[in-house]
Amino acid sequence: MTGPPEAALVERAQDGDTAAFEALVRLHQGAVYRIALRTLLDEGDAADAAQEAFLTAWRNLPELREPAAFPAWLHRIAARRALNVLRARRPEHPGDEEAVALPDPGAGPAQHSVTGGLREALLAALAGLPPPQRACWVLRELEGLGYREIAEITDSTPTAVRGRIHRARTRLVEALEPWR
Amino acid sequence: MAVDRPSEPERLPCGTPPDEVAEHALRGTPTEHERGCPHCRAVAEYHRVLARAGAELAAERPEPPPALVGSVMRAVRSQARPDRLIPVAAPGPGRTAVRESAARALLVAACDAVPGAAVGRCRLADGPDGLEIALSAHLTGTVPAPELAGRLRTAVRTAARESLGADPARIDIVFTDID
Repeated sequence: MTGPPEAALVERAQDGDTAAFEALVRLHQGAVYRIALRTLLDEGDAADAAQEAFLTAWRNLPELREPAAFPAWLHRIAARRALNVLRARRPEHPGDEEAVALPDPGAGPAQHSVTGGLREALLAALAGLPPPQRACWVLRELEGLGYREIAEITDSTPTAVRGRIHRARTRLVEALEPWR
Repeated sequence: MAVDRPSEPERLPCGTPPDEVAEHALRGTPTEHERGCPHCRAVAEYHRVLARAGAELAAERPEPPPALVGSVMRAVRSQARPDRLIPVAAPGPGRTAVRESAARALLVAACDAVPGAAVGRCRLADGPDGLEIALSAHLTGTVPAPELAGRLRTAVRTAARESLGADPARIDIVFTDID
C-alpha cells in the first residue's frame, strides 16, 4: 500500500478531510462490523451500529489527542454503541434467543455438521446471556481487550468485568456440555 | 448492586487462578506449569469445548455489507464541519479569500508529491505578515527530516504562490514521529 500512514490520515480527518476519513473507514470497517456483529448477533443491527459508531467517531475525532490511538479508540466506540443497542432492545424482545439469525444449516458439507453444530450452539448460548455478560465475554475472549478497557466501555470496574466473564464462561461451558 | 465475586480471585490448590487457565486454554497458550499441573489440566479440560468453539468464532472474519462505506460517507458529508474563509494577499490592490478546506487540500496534495513524507495536519492562519501555514509530517522513507522539511517548504510555497496567489509569511513543519 502506498497511501499515507494511518496517523497522517487521522490528522487530516481531524482537520475535516472527508477523503482521509473514508480511507480510515475502509481500513477499519471489518473490525468495527465484527465487534458489532459478535455483540448483537444480527447482521442488520450490526451494520446500523457500525454506521453509528463511525459517525460518532467523525464527530468526536477533533478531541482525539493521540492519532496513533485511533484504532483502539474507534473499537471502544463500536463496542459501546453495540452494547447500548443490545441493552435497549433486550426488554422489548424477551424471545431474543430464538430471534438470532443462524446460518443455513444445510449450507455446509455434511462432514462439517458437527463443528457447525458447535459453532451454532455457542452463538445460541451467547444470545441467551444477559447483555453485559455477553459483551464482556466477546470483548475479552474474541477481541482480546483488557479488563480495564472493557470496564471503561461497559461503565463498570475491572473486578465486575472479571466476575461477568467468569459467569459467562460458566454458563457457556454448561450450554456446550452436549458437545463434550 | 452487590458484586458477588471477592476482589481476590479464586485460586486452584497450585495457586493459579482458574480464570487464567481457562483463558489460556481458549487462546491455545497454556503456560509450562499449566501443561504439567493436574489441577490446571482439569480446568483446561473442563473448558475444552468452549475453547474449541470460541477459537473457531474468533478466527472468523465476517465481511461488512458492501454498502457500509457509502452510507457512512453520505452521512459524514451531510455533517461536514463549518469551513472558514482565509484571507490571502492577491496581486494588485485589495485582498481575496479562499475556503480553508480547499486551500488545505491543495497544499496537502502538493506535499503528497514529495517522496519520503506524509503530511497530516495542515492549519492555515491569517497572521500579521500574511498567510501562516503549520504542517505536521510523518517520515515514510529514509530522507532525513531537515532535508524533507526544505523540500516540503518549497512545495508548499510554490503551490501557495501558483494556486492561491499568496506568498506565505511563515511555514512551520513539525515531524511528529521523531523522538
